[in-house]
Amino acid sequence: MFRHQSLFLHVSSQTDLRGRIWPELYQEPETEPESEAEIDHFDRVPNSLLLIVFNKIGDVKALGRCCLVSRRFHDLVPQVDDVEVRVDCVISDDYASSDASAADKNIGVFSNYKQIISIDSLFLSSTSFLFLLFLTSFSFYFVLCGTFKYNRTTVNLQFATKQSEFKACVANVIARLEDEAGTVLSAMLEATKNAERKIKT
Amino acid sequence: MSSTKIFLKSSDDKTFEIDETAARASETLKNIIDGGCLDGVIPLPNVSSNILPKVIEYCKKHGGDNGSSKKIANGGVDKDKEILPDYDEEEDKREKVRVDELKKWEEEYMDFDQQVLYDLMLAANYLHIKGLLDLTVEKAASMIRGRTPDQIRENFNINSDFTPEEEEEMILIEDEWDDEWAFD
Repeated sequence: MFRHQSLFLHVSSQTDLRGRIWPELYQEPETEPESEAEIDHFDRVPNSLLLIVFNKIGDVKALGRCCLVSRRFHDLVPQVDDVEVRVDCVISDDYASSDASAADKNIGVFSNYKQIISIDSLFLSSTSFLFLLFLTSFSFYFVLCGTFKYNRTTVNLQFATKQSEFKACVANVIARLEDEAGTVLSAMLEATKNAERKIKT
Repeated sequence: MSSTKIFLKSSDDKTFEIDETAARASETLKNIIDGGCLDGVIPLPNVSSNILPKVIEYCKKHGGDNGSSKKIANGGVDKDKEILPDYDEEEDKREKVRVDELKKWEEEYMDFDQQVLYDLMLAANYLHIKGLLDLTVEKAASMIRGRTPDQIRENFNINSDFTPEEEEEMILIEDEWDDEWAFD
């Protein structure tokens, strides 16, 4: 059902997660307080509740970190409904002169982008509704916003690059695609690559 | 306006009293009341006696939120409502004060240790008190946001159950992440 686990952290391939059954719903509430220090507090919280907590977190970074906390978290995080991905990046105006650092930043941005996509593909499932919005406006900002809506998952994506020589176009392209999400994601990646190229030239 | 008393019995057999209006903040209790299954005491086997007063406190504060208690409090003003033109303004002001007060109260109310937080979360979930659930969940979420996995583990007393090899891999991934996200 969730075929994304191995993709994400490359952990599940090593060990058998199936054998592990997490305590579902209400264990005895009367845990002895004297052993408090050793109690995993969240053990008493049912998965359904923990999921509500995770949904409240929203931030994809924090969720990613949650994945690394424990096996239970790792299994639960991919089931989260609401994820927010925000990548705001400002590339300095004089990127031509500050070659090295700017290039680094570029790499940062786009490897991040891939990161996001790998996160996104976590939630990939069959056909999905995708709303893709390219907004290229005025001379200073290249803004790419996307809202991905997979089956149950909303991913908000914002990506902004500031750069002075990108005055060319004012284009509003709104594409509404009902396609394999992967196709569209690759299209988006392509678009960012184009942007990257433009920045570099 | 019927404000009958309702008795709740905690898991360890202690009985607590609550107004019906307050009890209606809980969806579960509301259903029990409306369903007419009210014969004296409502047993709550999932809520212990050290949590139940806390829940009741919340219900008392919020029970009348969208209804009776507010009307009762403003009972005298109700008549003037249509006559006075500046009523809205005054009401707004009063509402604002009320909200501020509520926020302050919530802050104080939420000042407890983690042990209580989970119990309260469970109780809110069990009793379907949405506001309380939101409050507690938000608190738990804020304890996770912006922390490293180690901090989270420490915070919640979670023992990592990954194998050492996995652990190593985790650390690698984590470092990678830190690098990737470093620029913001």
